[in-house]
Amino acid sequence: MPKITLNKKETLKLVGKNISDKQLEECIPLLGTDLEKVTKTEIEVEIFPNRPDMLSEEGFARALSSFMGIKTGLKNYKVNKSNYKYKVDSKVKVVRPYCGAAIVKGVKFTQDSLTGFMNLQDKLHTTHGRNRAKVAMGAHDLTNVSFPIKYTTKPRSFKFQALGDSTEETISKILEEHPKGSAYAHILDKKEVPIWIDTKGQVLSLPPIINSEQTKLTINSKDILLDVTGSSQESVDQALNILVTALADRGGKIYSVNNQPKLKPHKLKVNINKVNKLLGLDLKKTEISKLLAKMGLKYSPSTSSVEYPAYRTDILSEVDIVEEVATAYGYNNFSSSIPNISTIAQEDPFEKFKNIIANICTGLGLQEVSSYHLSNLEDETTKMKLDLKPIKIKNSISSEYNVLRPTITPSLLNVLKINRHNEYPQNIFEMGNVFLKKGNDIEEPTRIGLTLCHSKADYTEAKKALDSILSSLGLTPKYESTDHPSFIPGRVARVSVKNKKVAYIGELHPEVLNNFDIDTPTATIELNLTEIFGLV
Amino acid sequence: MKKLNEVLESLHPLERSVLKHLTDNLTATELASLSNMKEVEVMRALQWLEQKGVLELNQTKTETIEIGENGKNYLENGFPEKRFLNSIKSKPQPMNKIKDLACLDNNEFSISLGLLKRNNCIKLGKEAEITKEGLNLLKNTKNEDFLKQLPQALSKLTKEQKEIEKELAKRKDITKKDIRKIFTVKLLKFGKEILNSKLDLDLIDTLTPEIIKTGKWKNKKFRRYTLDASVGETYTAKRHMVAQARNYIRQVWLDMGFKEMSGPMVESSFWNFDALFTPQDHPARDMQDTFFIEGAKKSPDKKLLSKIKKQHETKWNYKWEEKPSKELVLRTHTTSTTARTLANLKESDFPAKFFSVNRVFRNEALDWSHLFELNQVEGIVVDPNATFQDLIGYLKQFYQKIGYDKIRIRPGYFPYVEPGLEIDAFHPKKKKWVELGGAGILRPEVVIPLLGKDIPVLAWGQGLERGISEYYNITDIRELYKNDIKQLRNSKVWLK
Repeated sequence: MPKITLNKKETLKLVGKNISDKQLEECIPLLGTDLEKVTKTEIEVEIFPNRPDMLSEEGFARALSSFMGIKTGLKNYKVNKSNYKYKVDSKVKVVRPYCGAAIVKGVKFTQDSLTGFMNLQDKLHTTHGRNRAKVAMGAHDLTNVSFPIKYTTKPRSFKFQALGDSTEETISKILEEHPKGSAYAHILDKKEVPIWIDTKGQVLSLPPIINSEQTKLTINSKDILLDVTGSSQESVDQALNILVTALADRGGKIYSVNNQPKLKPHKLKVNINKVNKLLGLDLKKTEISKLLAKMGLKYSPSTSSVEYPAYRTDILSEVDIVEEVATAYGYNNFSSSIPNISTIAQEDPFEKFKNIIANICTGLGLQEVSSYHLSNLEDETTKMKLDLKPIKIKNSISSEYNVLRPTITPSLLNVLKINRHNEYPQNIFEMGNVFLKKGNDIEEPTRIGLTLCHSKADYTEAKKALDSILSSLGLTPKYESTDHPSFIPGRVARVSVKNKKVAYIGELHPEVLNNFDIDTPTATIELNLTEIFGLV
Repeated sequence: MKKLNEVLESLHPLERSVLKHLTDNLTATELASLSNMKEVEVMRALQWLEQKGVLELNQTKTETIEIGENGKNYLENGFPEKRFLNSIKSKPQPMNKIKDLACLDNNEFSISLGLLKRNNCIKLGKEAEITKEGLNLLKNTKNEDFLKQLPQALSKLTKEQKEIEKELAKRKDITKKDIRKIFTVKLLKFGKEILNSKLDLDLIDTLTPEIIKTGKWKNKKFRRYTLDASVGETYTAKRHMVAQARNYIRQVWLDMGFKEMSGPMVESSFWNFDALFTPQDHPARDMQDTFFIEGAKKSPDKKLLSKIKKQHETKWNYKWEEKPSKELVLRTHTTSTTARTLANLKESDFPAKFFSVNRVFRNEALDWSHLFELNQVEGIVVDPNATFQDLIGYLKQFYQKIGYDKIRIRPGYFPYVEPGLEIDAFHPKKKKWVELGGAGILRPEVVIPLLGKDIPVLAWGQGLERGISEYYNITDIRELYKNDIKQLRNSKVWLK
């Protein structure tokens, strides 16, 4: 979740009332934001990812002010008609199809509010913009732009002066060498790249990478042009709305470019009975109306509909309005109830079976251990002298854990390995899943591994244990000689029950023990519990 | 002071043997040779006797003479100079043959040759011949006798022994000096009483089947034991601590009337993400927090697929593709199992409650507070009449059962629930609010495709491992799956 640090003074100015730290600490979590801390000068919060409109001091203050009953109700933002226009070249369809632009005039930046506005764009880029792949935005000083502007594409040999650079460079070079270029170049995978350019040929930006040096915002900028591009028109519009409303809250006037921004509130039908039923409340229409006003929404009883601001990205269904009502009502104000319904508890039969098996094993004096299901190729194959093809993890960040274990014995041998300094005998067991390819599917049977490790551990002792477990379950095992590279030849058996192969049992080969740095004789059993469960 | 008779009856056979030879100021080593016992046995007996108030053991450190590696060897195989002499005892031998005849290595040969020449023990010509002095040397066993008496306290050597030691010390590793702990007995008053008593009591030491059968025990006393003597350790084999805690929390759900769910760890993205209304461009679905697995699994039926597609496309406003839904992952939450469970329900099954406590996976580096495999505790209530207030009621009951009497809730965000909430509990020991878990009502976009209609499904969950760490005072969460056998053996059982 994105964490933001807000300037407390600026925020409270926007809220429109001085609020004590104690009140802030109480209110902010109830509004639906994780409060990290309130200090003398700052408020640190974690904004839920569905509320990008709260990623700025302006947006956060707007929500808080309304929630605390200071400035409630649906806020109207006027869009002034203008003759500013942009054209879209159809070539952008294959590189970055959707775009939008808007103008805000008369903004008075301070150093703090300018930084705040930059931070908002940064946070929007990473969250709502999915690291700029879905949405990217640029802000420009309007005085350096000549209309109409155009959203088009250019070859990579095209030159302009990127923000922060001292000279013009080719786009190829910018993508390679500019810090923003190397960070986001992967998003542009076509020969031509998208460009916003004005009627005099002045580049505004190379979305989603970088703006131009010539149109950059400064603390003296008053009139601002915003450009947004992306892979979804809806997300582009939402980002534009979040930006213009934040600037408008700073006293700016919004002007249209083409027919954007579209700030007309959205409407959703809401059934009050459903709201009350789901919350377990009995709220009247007037109460609902008041509560939703606290959330910056407007309820119209006559049409049973709710209007919500165009910068809200989180309202998809009626149930989202239910949450708004609940938040305004105050989570701390709900009472609790337990419905009088009858249901019958039931343990998963296999879980029950596993507990029975584990109890038998502890009865045999074996200590249970518990390892990870993730392993590595070397432990599972080379060290065990086995030629298996474990299922691979495509993107593990650790080479120690990059396959799913196909057997359970190596997990136990790794436990013995780290316990060499501890007292013997070390007789242990583990239950867990192993992962096997089966045609076009992946199976994950549960197995139990039992290892007996001490100076006199041998096949006989292991066989006694397995005989005891199986006879406790009323099963009779059949032991057949087999070849298995992990074991000493002649001391390993394939075990079947009711003609189903269920286990391997034997004395591990000294070479395998060496591979796991174990120098104590070890006998082991690997038993398929899923199979056994089906036979009991 | 213990009663004399009781102590007499409790004497172990080793103690009796020692007592027979015990006088004041003897050392443990001396007692060993007097009683013909091993020194460790003597020490054990002396320590027991000390506990019984018979004697005091005083420990001093003394410089000793011990036998060295070569000394041991020579005692067994003969000193090299004697082996040299023996090889020429019956008739003179050429020099080049002596080494083999006497089994000497180069070093031993040259040392013995020098020593024998210096003492006129041999006469050298074409062959080496033994002299009278040589024959005398062969008879002299003072070196061997001395070595046999080692170890000895340096201070207790006789003048003659000191001479021998001085000579031997010139040669390599025949003797060596060491510091030894010497235990000296100081007999106490009670000990003197014991020694004046009759020690040979006819007691039964070990009870055998034979004694029981034959009745030999009749009219006999048993040797009394020292009941508080420390005994060796033995271990109870236990369930792993996570398994114990997991069973505990499972029982809590069962007590509340919930039915246990199970499902695969390797899931298709369909069940892990799509069925839970996670859009296909959601950050969780790129290569960051999720483990992606090679291979394929069976797809869910086409009907369900198209229902999910419809929810995504109408609500999220993008084109939903089947291909990304087939990507395999290690489930990032057990909510994938919840989705499977819901898909199998019929209307006649309502109301229904389900839970699971199972492993989930996060592609994170292991560190003291992060595991990539951990258990998620999760429960749902499917009830056409369930409300948000009921959810709070269930939460209160659940958390009360696991030891938190006071909880509070605040808004929270999870993509597949609405409303969503976070649960804090007042920690009875830490005396402060701690974050415990999350909860909410499943979104209709999740429920409608799976259940066929919009029915409230209350859901809540939390991790398991943090509570276990707290219970066992573990600060590094990795220790839970380290499997240190000593730690597992010594850990207390889960008593909640």
